Amino acid sequence: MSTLRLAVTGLSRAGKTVFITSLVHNLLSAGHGGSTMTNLLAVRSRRLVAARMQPEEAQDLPVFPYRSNLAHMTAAEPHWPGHTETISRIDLAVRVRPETVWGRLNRGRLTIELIDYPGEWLLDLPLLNTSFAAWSKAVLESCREGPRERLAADWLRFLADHPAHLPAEQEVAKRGHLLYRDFLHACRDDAGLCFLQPARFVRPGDQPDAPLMWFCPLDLGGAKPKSGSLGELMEKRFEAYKEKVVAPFFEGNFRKFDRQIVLVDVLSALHGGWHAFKDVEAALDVVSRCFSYGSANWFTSWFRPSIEKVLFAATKADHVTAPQRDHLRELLRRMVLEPAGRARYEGATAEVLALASVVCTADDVETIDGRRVDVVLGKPIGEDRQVKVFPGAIPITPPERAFFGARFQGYPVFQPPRFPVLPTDGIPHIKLDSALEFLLGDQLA
Amino acid sequence: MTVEPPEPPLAPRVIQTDRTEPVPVRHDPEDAAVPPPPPLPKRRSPFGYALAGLALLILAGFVVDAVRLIQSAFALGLGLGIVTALLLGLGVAGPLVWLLWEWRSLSGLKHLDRLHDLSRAPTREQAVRVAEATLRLLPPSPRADEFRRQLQPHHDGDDVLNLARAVVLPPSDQAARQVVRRAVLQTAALTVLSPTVLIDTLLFVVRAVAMLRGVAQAYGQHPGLAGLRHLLREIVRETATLGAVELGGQVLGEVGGKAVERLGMVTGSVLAAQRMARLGLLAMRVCRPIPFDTTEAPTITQLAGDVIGR
Repeated sequence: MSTLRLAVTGLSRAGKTVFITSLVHNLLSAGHGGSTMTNLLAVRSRRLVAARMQPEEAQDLPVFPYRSNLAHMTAAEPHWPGHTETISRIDLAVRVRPETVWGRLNRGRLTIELIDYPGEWLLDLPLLNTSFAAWSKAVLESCREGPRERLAADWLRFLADHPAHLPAEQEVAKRGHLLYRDFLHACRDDAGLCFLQPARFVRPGDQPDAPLMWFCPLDLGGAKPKSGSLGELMEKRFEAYKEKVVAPFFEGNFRKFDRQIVLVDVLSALHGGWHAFKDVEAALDVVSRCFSYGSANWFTSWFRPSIEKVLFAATKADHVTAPQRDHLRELLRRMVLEPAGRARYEGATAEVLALASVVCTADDVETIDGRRVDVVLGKPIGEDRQVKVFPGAIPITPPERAFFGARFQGYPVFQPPRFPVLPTDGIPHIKLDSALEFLLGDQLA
Repeated sequence: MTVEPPEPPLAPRVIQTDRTEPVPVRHDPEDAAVPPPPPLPKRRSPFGYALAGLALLILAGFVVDAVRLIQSAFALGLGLGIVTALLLGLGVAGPLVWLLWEWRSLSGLKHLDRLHDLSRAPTREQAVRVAEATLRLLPPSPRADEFRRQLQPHHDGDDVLNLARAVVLPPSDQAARQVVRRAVLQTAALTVLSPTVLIDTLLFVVRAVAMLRGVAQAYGQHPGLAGLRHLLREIVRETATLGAVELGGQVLGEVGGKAVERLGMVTGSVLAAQRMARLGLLAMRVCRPIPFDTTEAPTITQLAGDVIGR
């Protein structure tokens, strides 16, 4: 039996948890004759015999809460799973009638390993190759304009009052950390920004609030911090954070992947305004540099594991109308030109598409200011009346600053659709099966 | 001339409604089947009108001649008149039935060509029409209801075609593959047993035509015009190559003795079977109402697996 490790990568709220839940449910349904995955060739040609969740007896990570997520989505008042607070894993075994020699050697069995984790944690990976001085400099530079400048006012005042050369004091360091942490929270909640480091300051998971967490960027002025100074204390803690928190997460879970899907909530980025959009672009670029891409055979993969196929997917495609989905895909294609180009250069295959792991809207039309426009129809969670949402124009190239108006925060969270909890009819989705065909199709041949 | 300034883009917004029912995200599986869309519009060709006019002219001339013939026969005697009228009636009815059958066959082929055209990057509406036309080609079955039940509002053209490929076509694909598999096995056996090149060639042609018809029937129609010509050309080419291989076997036999001759016969048999398989796969591509997509077309290897695993 062969095993394929699929990296489900995405920033916070990109939809990783729902993607994994829908993928598992729809593949299980396909094994029971469901027809929601017909863009997957193994399903279309009726070669997919069955799928099942692997027993988690010897699993070293918490189990992905598939059943609990499903229970949320199929409740009397359906709602989405909560924020992912910690890492979890699910293994899905798929059996097909093989048509190739390789498939016959594996007896048509494939195990797909899927890992879910808080999306914010991904942004810690670039820290592994960054020094405290370089990181501090980059953060301080980013705070010179846009919403960060305003939101960082208290923390920047603290930095001005406490230069790096002052003697190290635990209380001062902790106060600086708390002010910086509040700043990161405000960036996320008030300005919709996502490029927030260190990630555990925003989403700590099971990480205790230990002294190694009590640090923040400092203005070192290009000099190495003196022994016993506040700067040295912060630097030590930064390095300890990298060594004890980030490195185990990366080494244990992100080192060996065969395929990768990068989920991007492009629509929210557009609605978040210029700075939020640029934040997403920068985060995608930085995160993609942490992975190793390239074509690998069984021999080289022992020494240098690398990702052979990477799919960039614009999620929540059901939040725009059918004609706009192509725009969403084209916009993402241009947003990830560099990461996709790098992956291709290394020998990997890269593709882009727009998908919705779960469809919770229908297309409709509405007249706005005398113009007849396409809108989506959905029922917001907790409300009993449907609303129509005009999502705005979706450009096909990353827009200039003038394109962005005021930040649009009013996009409702729609109720999940009704679907059976038993894996029979599957969950309605858009192009989830096409994504799987690209990522796993060759392994199911 | 004044140029209207472009309208400013509308800002995103939320519009309240009074509707309280669930959002129609998917068709309820308990719902009745969605009614099929109207059939594909027929294309009218000016060339067709001209041909019809010419046919009417010829028909008129024929009717005049026939009436004269019957009148002459009746003038010679009542019995002769009746016999002549009956024979003439049979003589006319036979070709008419044949022409009608050919016309229906040709219409089906043209229809198939249009389906193939529409299947290239179709819109949702075009794809639904192609799928419904495919359902009409095939014998009635629960597949139609199943397809309409599974068709969802958010499906785009590719999704619809793939759904049809998954739900509607597998039995036809299976039947076509069986036809090809049978033809391959028979070809391999007959080529080993047949005593001469001429008989070999004849058997191959007869088997290929039968297979072509079988594959076409599996998909509920006849091959497209262009496809038929293409296939016939393939048959001629394959037959010629087969002859050459058999001759090669005989030459080897004369030079190298009986053992080599046997080896040549077996090699020829395998090659003939392989060519029949290629021909069959080609026929499947041409006759299938919804074309295979790039990854799903059956291959020689898969067919070999079918034959070996039989």
